[in-house]
Amino acid sequence: MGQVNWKATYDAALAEARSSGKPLFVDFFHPA
Amino acid sequence: MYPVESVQALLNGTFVLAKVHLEEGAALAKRFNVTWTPALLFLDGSETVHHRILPGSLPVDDFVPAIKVGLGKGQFDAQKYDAAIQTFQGVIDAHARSLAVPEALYWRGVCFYKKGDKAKLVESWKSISANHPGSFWAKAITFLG
Repeated sequence: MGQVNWKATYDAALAEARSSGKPLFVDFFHPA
Repeated sequence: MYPVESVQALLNGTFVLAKVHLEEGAALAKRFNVTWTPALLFLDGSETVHHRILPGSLPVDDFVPAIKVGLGKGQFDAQKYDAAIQTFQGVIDAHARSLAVPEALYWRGVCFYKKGDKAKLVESWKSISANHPGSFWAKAITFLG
């Protein structure tokens, strides 16, 4: 599986939040 | 993304979701001063953080109302007091036994105050003292008497 580009993931979500007016819920995780 | 349907439904219906690995997304974590997980942040489109849940490892009966409080805090910060009151009331009504209720009562009271109704602030806060005397929020309003 390729490395996830977390910045791109976040940036896409932020763009959607800006265009939709919805709040952004960011879940920082770290697998055990 | 979340195994419990009620959580997934609430999040999908209300928010744009982003899940970030703490280490692999270290630059983002550093920007938001996240140093432990699970850390749940509630942001707006300007990347202003309105609420945090840390640790975010709550049981679902407390997790759902905690998310709703986060939503309400964002609405409060945006001065959408009527919407925030409705959100906090939803926590109080639907999750009466959750740990989030005292906080919802506190912020509902502040919303009423911001709308010019000091009596309803006092009513909300007295409910904290009466029904949640051991809570952090009861301690925060001991000056009320």
